[in-house]
Amino acid sequence: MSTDLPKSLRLLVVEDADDDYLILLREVRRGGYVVTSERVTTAPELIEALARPWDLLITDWMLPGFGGLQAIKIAVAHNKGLPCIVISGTPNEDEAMAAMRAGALDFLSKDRPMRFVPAVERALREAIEHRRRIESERELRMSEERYRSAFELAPEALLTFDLDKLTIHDANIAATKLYGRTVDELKTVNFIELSAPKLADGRASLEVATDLLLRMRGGSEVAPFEWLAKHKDGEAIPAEVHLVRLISDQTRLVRLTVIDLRERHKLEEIRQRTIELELQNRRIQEASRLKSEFLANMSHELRTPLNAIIGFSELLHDGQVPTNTPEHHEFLGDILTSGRHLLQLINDVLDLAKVEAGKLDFRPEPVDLPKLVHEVVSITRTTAATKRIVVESSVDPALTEIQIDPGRFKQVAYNYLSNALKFTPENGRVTVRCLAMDAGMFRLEVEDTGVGISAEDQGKLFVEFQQGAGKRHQGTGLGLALSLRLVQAQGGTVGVRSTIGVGSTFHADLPRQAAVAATLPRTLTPRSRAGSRTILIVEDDDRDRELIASTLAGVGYGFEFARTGKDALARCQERFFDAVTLDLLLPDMSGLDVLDTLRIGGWLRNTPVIVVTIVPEVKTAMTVSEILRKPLDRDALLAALERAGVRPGRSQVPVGGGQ
Amino acid sequence: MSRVLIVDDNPTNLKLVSFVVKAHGYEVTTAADAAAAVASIHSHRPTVILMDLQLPGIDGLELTRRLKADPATRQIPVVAVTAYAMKGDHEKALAAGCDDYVTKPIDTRTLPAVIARHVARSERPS
Repeated sequence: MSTDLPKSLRLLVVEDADDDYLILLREVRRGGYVVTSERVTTAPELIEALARPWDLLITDWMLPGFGGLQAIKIAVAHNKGLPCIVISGTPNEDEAMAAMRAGALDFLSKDRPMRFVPAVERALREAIEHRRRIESERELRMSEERYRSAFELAPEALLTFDLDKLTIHDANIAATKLYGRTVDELKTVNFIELSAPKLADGRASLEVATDLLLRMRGGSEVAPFEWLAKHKDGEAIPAEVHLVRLISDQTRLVRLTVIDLRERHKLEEIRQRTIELELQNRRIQEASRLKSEFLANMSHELRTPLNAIIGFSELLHDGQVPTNTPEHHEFLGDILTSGRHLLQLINDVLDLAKVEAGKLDFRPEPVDLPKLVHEVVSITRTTAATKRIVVESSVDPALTEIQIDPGRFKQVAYNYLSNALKFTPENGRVTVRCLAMDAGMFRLEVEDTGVGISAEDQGKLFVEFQQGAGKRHQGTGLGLALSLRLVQAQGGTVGVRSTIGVGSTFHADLPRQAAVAATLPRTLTPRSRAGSRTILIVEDDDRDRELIASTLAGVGYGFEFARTGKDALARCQERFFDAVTLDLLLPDMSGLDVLDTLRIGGWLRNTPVIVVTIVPEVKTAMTVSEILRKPLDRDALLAALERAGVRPGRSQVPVGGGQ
Repeated sequence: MSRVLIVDDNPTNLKLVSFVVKAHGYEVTTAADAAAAVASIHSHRPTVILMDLQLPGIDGLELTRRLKADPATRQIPVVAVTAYAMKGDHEKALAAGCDDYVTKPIDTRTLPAVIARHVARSERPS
């Protein structure tokens, strides 16, 4: 007897003969079973008993009004897993066949009780196996169902793909929605139809997909990647795809998880937009704060000279200061000085407002630079003498043929110089220099041996009323802000170098020849000059093109070519150019027609255009900066660009001004 | 004779206020920044301080706060004399501990009365 069989046995017996029942029990107990049994003789009794749990049913074949076959059928109907054995007093093959067909496991003869126990053992073993089989079948079915529903109902689009047939093997509901196709359509469509022709990075989907498939076939794993899925209606859907190899005997399958990124992208966009709005809001608040600060400072700066003017006037008017005394005279002088200071403040504010609005006039004229510098130094002579500061000046003799607005130049030079004197301690030294620079520029530089400016404060220098940290100095607090705007409006830049305790050097780089009647830019915020200025060279003659290109490259401009009118139009629509040189005789159309199209289309707007031509007389109603004749003079081209306000990009970082 | 300390970094303003104060019979000391003011207070204790609020380095508000925090100088009345005349500036001055607040341009006719009031208060035996 095998040990894995249960020792206790719950036995249900259908038997009308007492003796047979007792023999049966005795035999089974002899086989080592602890038997709990019940005997029934009719169908209703059997049905009632089957409601309770049993390990085995043994039935007689012939009963009065009942039979073994019937009993087996009832048992199968009411308790499907219950093993049944038939014991017959008169066994024959037909009955045995019928019993086995109905579900009996064995058919025994009453005459051979020694067979009972082995039959019981076998029946119980088979019942256990039967239950196990049923259980594992059920589990398999459930796991399949679970997989099926996980697959079907997954929120992401899932596809299984046959690597050999290159077809879709299965798809879930989300996939049908994503692609706008039924499962059957997905199974039959060429898989490349499910992708946009090109990926976001410009690579062809087919090539990338082929590469991925070959790698999967070769046994490599593929990391998740971004893709552009295509809906049936043609819409490209940004997606993230995960590939997983499925274990399968017959086919090489991969499962694709296609995650729709549109929602993620939308959220990302919203997040970006929110950040932008927050920044914008902060900028507006900052602008508003600066405006309030400007007004508060303005009020303070106006009240300070007014205090002297009104205070001293009051004293004089009230007769508090006897006439013909030195004090009387001195106080009148103070009123005068304060009045002038007030006027200066008002002029600065007005200039600032005008230059901000792009309405300040510049009148460039040929000037004598050393004379201008001398004039500015003279104005400050008294201040310098009071503090025993040595003021030196020098002008590079190469700086001839300077054509600028003398008034505006003196304004900037005076601002720099008076600041230098203000911040330089007694017995210090201040130097004013004009230096020649390349590319038609010159530099005005004022160096002092003053207190110096911290790196932090350097950034605020050119902003209205932002005097050094906690420092209160004479002056309107507008000088540098105004200087910055004046220089920028003339196509120049300003900057400062400083070391605390050593001194500062302020500079303004200006064009040697300011454009006559230059139109002032509406917005004076300096453009980023990280890269060089780029010029489009529209020229079909190879030699001329090379000449222009080498001339531009030599002084640091970037450039691009267009050989035909059509080419030029295309280039201008692609990107922004700082200036254009234009040949008038192009192979496909006239240069003036090109210009016309570009101006009207808004692609060139205010971009300076320099016509380079052999045509002796050019009549055009269109706005061109300058017309140069071939053979081209390199210097004339550079000068024309300078006059148009387009200088090559410099490494020097311009100092940003207000807002 | 009562002594008035005038703290102002603008020489013209200093001259004006000094003249007005002197004309009304006070002794005048002056200082152009916080350090000079503190030194002056300790060497020639003033009866009243006229304080410009915008000074280089430590400004008038901060100087007033320090004077009011020091038991040795707390009793000296501080009158802010300032070109800061926007909304909120008065409150800021009082919050820092100023006893009074006069805006520039000053009224040379009424300033002496303001000083006299604080001199009287300061010299009243407590």
